Amino acid sequence: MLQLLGILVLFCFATVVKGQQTAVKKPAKNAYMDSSLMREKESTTDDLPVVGLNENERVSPLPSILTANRDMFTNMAGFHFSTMRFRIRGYDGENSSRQINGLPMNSPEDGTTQWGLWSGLNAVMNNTETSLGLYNSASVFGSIGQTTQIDLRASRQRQQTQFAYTFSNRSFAHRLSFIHSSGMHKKGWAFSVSGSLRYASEGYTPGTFYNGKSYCISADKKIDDRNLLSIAVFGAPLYTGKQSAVLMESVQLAQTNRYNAYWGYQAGKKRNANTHYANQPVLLIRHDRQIDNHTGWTTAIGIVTGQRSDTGLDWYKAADPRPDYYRYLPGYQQDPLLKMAVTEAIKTNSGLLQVNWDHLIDVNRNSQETIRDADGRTGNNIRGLRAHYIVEERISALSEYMFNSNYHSLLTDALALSAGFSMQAAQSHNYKKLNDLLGGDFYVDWNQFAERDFPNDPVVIQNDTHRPNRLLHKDDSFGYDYLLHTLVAKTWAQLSFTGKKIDHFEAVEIGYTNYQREGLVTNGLFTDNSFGRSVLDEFTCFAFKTGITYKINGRKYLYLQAGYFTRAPLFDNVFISPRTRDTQQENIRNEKILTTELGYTWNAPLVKLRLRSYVTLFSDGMNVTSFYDDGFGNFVNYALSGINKMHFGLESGADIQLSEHFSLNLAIAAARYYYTNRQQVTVTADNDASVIERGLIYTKNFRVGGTPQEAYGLGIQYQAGGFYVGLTGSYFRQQWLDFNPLRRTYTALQGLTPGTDQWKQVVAQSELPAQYTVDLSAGSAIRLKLFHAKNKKMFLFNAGISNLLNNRTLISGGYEQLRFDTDTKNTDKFPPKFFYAMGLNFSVTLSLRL
Amino acid sequence: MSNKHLINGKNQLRLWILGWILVFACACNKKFDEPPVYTTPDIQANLTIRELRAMHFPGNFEKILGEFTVQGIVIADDSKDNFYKSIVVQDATGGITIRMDGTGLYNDFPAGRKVFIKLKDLWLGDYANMIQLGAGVDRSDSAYPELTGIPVPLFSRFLVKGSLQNTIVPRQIGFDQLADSVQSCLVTLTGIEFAPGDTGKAYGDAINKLSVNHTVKACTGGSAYIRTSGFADFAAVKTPRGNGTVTAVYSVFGTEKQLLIRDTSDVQMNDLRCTGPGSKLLFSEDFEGAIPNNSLALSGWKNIAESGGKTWLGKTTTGNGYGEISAFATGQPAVVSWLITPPVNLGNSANEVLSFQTKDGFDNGGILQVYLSTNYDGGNTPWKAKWTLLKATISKGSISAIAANWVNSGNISLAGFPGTVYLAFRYDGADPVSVFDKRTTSFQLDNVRIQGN
Repeated sequence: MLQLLGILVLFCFATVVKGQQTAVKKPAKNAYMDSSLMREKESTTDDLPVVGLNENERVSPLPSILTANRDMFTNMAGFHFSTMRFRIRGYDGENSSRQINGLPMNSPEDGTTQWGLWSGLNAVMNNTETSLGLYNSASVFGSIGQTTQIDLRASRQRQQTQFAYTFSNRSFAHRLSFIHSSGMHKKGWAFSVSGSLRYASEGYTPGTFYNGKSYCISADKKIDDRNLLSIAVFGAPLYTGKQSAVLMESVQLAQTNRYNAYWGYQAGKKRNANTHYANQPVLLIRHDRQIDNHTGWTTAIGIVTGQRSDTGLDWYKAADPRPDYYRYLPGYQQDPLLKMAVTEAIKTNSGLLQVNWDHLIDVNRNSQETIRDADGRTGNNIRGLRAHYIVEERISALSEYMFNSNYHSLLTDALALSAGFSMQAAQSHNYKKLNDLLGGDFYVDWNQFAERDFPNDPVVIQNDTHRPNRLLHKDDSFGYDYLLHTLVAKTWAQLSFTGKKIDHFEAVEIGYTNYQREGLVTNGLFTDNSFGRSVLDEFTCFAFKTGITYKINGRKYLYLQAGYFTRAPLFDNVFISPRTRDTQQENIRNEKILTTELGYTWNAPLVKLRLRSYVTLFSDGMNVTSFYDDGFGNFVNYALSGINKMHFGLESGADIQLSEHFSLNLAIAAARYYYTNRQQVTVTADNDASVIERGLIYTKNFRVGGTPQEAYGLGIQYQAGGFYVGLTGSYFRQQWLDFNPLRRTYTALQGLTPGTDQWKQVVAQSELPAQYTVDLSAGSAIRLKLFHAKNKKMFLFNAGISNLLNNRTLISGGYEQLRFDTDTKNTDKFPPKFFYAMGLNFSVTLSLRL
Repeated sequence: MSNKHLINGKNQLRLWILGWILVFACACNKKFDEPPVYTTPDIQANLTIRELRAMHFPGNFEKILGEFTVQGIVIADDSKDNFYKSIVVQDATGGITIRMDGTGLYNDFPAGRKVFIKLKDLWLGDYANMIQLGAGVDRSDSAYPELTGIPVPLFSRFLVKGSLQNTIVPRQIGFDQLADSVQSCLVTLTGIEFAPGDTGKAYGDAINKLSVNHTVKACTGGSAYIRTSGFADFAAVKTPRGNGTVTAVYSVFGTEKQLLIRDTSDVQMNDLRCTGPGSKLLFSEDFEGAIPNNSLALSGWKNIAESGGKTWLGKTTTGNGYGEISAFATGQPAVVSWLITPPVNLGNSANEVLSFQTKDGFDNGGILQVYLSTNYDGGNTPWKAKWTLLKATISKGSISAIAANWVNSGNISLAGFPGTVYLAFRYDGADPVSVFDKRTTSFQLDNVRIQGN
């Protein structure tokens, strides 16, 4: 056993050390979730042995629990709807909360769950309690969306030793994983060690590669009958090549919807310009104290540290190196002959659709230039190859400290009190690093946009006025450089009453959030407000929720819940251009959320049914989106405020036992997510302190994009002995693209006649067609003798095939490009970009339980 | 716990895990290979640029159908943004402007690069008589059809990159030779200067991003425009006031002759202007108005004792007035005195030259120096301003008498100084008790003149 542990420790160590490279910046606000994440999540689920799922089934003694663990709807959403980037109730990531060992795992900076921290640790993270909506958990106040509590404590892991190998054609090809959980020893110790390796030299999408490792070591020590101490360390270093969103036009030219614009050949080898790297290990320590038979008290602290980064191309006074830049595509040509010639050229030379690394390097090799007063030293004129193309790396290095303390007591048989306090203090360091000079000798730390606007000003062009004209070499930091300090503290209390016929609860939470930008360089354009600490933004938030359950009988429940939340706006939505300065939105307020839910649950022996309806109103939301605007020739920031939304819908999940071996599953999400008002916009540019435009975005009744608003799933399962097979069909409707605010402004529509086709085309929001998929899963468990063992060992075989019909035109999501040609009003000039779902894809897992 | 079997399989297991670790650890640290250096192709041209230009009929558009290739050297690129979405290529017979629908073209087609142009399917046309090559004809405005640039994806189809750092010697010509045969050629014109109203003006309108025409004229007659884009890096640079040479790409707009410079180093105008009645006197002082043996009080001049309380005196000898100063018999340990001219405006002239005359007497180490300031406020504390020492010849070495002859200062160029300036004659002497430390040299000053054109 010890030897085994040794090997595992060695293995974990190797993975930690590996984390040298560099990774990716956190996805920009509103960025679209990397599709590999989705696939990751999906694969997590479909190699779960279904036989295992049934093992923990038990009947709760207090039959008012409404957790979603056994909820066919959330299962279906997680396993099958996720192909289409389905989000439960249309909620953003910050509306779901996630705890590990009681500690809050939502990023204090952007509110979303930091999935990447434990990507690949499926086995050990399986020990979860999930609930949907305003459910009254004993250990956390929760969110309006899904609340997931992961229990990593070694003593709570099922005692097991398991090896597994997965072969797949998704983002990775091979996964090797291992878990050993000892269970609680007599001396009061429990250990759990797990890890995985995931690898693909090229994933489903060309140019993507995958190199992921993960490890988790946890130990519990039972100090006495009333005290348990737990420690866990986990991490998931990951290095991947990313996939681009694509234009229909590119896909037609490439003649495959696996097209990926991010890669190209360098000296005959594929290289991806947009890679992601992350290595952020987590340490958690928790103490459980059972004060008496009715009262428990849990305290935990945690640390997250490490960095994420993303690479991308940067260029200086040179042609855009991205092969899908609109001017390089046939659609840009007005002359039909030229359109044909360009089409012809691209079809005969598919290299034109990919990054031309050799060309970029060739340009750098021939760019002899002299930099005067280099590194700020007068007369220091350096001549050399000034790179015009580089690979830059946008880094976010995080240090986060978490604390949570939680108290739960049954005051009487009918009344329970829960209360808690949690805190997250984080600092992230955001900057750019020069990753590859691509054959050049140096790059210069200048702001080329400022250089163009103010050609004769030697100060404004400096990204860092304290280090003017700095020559950059590999691994030098450059561009922007700032710290973000965040503090989130919350305290809550809840009373839950369990009656004969009626259960009810009331809970309240008070929160405090502050954040501050600290610039580490003085930007030449904003010498007054780029360096040093910004004003501290402080917010006080409040949330209240209540729910009542009417127990019709032991199997039928009717419940009604309501909640009102105020929530601090996110840093990213308050700071207009944190890369360059500390300017903030003009009216900063808390977002308000009002939500109500009415539900019905029926647990019959052969039928399990969930029926829910909900209405959620969001008001005073804020958002900042940034994009390159051709008209201004600059990065332009749209600061949106006063965003009101309404999400309402019906949800149902059913599990029907048709016969001894056959069962039927059903899930329905029929909803509408609307923007209910006109949003305020303030437009500014990265290179200019003045407000370019202030006005309204005409967005009333626009749809919230990025998820199907209607999803229907129907599955049939056969299960006998150690074998099962399931077939599920899913149908999606009402999937809208995130809209481009520019097209819905007074300015954009000037000169057009209301009601004309062109008017409608500019205003109309893009919608994806209705789509469906069919997925198959199967598995079996066999007991065999292994080595010279006396006992038989269990072999588990699981296979999942998604998109069984190999529909290659499935679009999982997309967005309207954030640009608009106000001169021609032609929406086809910058058409939407899409993500294609994978065609037939599979994973096959073979596990061995020792 | 049944790890017995695991131990049985221990070696396999360990190898298995270590093997994977090795495979994975090695798999992601590989360094990217680098492509070989670009090798220039060997292509034969079968047409000269002159022959190509001859295919064009004014006002027409011609699609080139034959398998023709011309070769030339890029003489102008877009590195300074005075040329936009175009490059100019020249061979021994002539030049041609190629419209290309891209930016940052100089990264691939810098001046000096040899290029081979495969002409088949390109179009010839003219823009107000300026012959160009393009990839098609935009007839969206039927009154003004125009060539369209070569789309970026087609660059490699029509243009093959050759060797770098070739030079084209500009043709030395006069204004009378600026004919259509030298369109898109690099030409050098000598003995020319900007028209008086166009000197000291920005080359282009960098604020409104507009192109500007400035007239240049030759001493021998004739004129043309130097046209500069408001987007050019050097748009805000001021045109020089002197006379000299311009190297530029010759272009026409209708009947207008235009010169397009690639950078301001193409304009070298440091000589005296030829236009107007020759050099003019910007300032002169002959000290005839000085009152003998009184402190000098000439109109506009400043006569200030910084220390030692000694100011310049007016003097007359045989009818000639001049200024004089000496620390002799002051008994002061330090005598510093300033004689400062009235403000002189150099903003409307070129090639300004300062001259004056001096005599020294009983020289024992006193110093006279001449300075120039652009930030002196005209007040009584000139030592607070920033002064630049000018290099002048000053009379010296007359130990036992006043020098017999006036010493000319030489022509001191003031051409580098903009706007309004002051000149100061600063005396530095001493008359302490100790005979060894005395520096009481007398200086006489006369005929201060500034000329320019």
